[in-house]
Amino acid sequence: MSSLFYFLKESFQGLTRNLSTTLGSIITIFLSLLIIGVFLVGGVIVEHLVRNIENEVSITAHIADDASQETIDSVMSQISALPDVASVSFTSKDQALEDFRETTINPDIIEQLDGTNPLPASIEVELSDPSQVESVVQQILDNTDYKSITDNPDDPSEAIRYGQRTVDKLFTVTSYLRYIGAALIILLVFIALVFINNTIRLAIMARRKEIAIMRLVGASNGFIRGPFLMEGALHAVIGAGLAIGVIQLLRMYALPRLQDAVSFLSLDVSGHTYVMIYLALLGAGLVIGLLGSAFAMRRYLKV
Amino acid sequence: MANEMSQGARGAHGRHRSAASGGQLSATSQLSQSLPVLDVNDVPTHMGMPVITFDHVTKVYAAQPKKPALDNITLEVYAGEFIFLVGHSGSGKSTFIKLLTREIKPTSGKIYVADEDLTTMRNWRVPYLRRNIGCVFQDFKLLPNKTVFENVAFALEVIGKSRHVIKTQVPEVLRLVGLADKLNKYPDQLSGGEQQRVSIARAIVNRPPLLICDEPTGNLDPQTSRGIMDLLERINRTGTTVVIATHDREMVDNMRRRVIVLDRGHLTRDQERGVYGSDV
Repeated sequence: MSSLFYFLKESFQGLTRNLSTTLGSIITIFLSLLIIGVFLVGGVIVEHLVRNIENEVSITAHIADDASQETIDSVMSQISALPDVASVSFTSKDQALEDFRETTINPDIIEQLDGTNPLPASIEVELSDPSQVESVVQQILDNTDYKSITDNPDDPSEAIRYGQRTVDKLFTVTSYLRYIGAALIILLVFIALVFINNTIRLAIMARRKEIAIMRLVGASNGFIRGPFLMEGALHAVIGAGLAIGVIQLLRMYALPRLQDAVSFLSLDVSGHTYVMIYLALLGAGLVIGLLGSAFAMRRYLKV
Repeated sequence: MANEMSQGARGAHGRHRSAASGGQLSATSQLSQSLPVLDVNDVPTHMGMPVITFDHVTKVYAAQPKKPALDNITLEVYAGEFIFLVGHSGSGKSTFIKLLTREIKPTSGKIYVADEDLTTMRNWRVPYLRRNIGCVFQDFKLLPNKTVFENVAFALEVIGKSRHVIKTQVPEVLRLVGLADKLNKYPDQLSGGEQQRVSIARAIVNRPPLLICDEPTGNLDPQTSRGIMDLLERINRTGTTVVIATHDREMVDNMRRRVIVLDRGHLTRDQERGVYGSDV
């Protein structure tokens, strides 16, 4: 217990002993963890957005106007039996026109139709696994009953609409982002490790005489190493605390403004997620601090 | 005031055996009276278990494979002995001391300190060995940014002693070495002899049974050296085994204690009540 107190005292003294290098390593850890944290929060937000868009992915299979209700029912039941299909619903021609009226930005078009309805009826398919969209589409195309009622018998694939392109693009973009993020995080962790390692090395150099005397009078190895481990951990915790503080400030002041600017997207992330990210940053900081000083001690502190 | 005291202390160093008659009561001489006095001449030294045993110890450094630093040394040191280890530079004295504190391991042979086999000792045990060995060096090895009190307290602090122990033991040991009035001085405010006293205080504050001194008077003038030797003798009288590596011919010849002579790694003489001799 008394030695814990001693370690703390020593590591706080270490803060002022090499102020410039100490500040250097704290700032490096702070910036690294800040960037890592911003990436994590951004990743969570993008993940949410993608999931929302994925949820909106549905398949619309257009149907010829002369299709019999019997065949439509049979096709619908066959589609709902497919794997990865969550629900199947029917949209009539009138309903389609109504939907169009509600969503279009140019209601004049409907006036110009003079009461005719060019929109086809359709079967709406919601998927339980959005990534399976292409295979489900293929299975619908292979369905002979559907072929008989499609509104484009020459090329049935043209009669089926789904958000294929968007989804594919989003998937590739997010997976790229993930790789870039991981690479950046590894790089930043490495830089932070180098900085902590260097700071602790200097601390060891500065205390060479003391260490020699500690060895001489029989201080245990743990006792000699303790203050340096503590010092590394202290730098990391201060750096992590700063990073967490800045992210919290960004969350409180910058994120609402960004949300106002892009009101059509939801940037909302639960407070629970933030707590998890903060804990992860603190943990990562501690690991970096302890590892960095452990490396330095292995090389420069022979006990 | 401080100056007067140090004058007095120096007078005490110079007194050797006779100065006490002058009625000069210095802190040191007062203290030696309070210590349990043991007349070493009455104590049969080769008694009980040896504190140090060298059993056919050879140390060869990788840099000089053909020239062993110590060659087949066998000797025993018993509790309460006062030993001079003499020899030229390069005779193996430093190697001998480094082996004792297990800074290095012998190439062959066995070394026992207080029944513990240093050659098979696990690394994590070494600090606990060193707590039983006080070490004093020619260059004092004091921390310049700590006061006398803090320097001595440091030795107790880093082996996890409580503040209470530190507060009682440090002033006591500083009184023993005659520096009771210099607690709050920094090393650079002290003379060489006083600095060496601080380093001796640090070495014995944990009351180790064995005190090893590597050239303790190498940086000091003869008179101051005499004072340091008096102090070491006084520590020896409390039962501490003292091993001193030295070049100081006059000191060795005056004190007539056991002398171990090393010459180019060989043990050439091991003599009770020995002298420095012409063979060194």
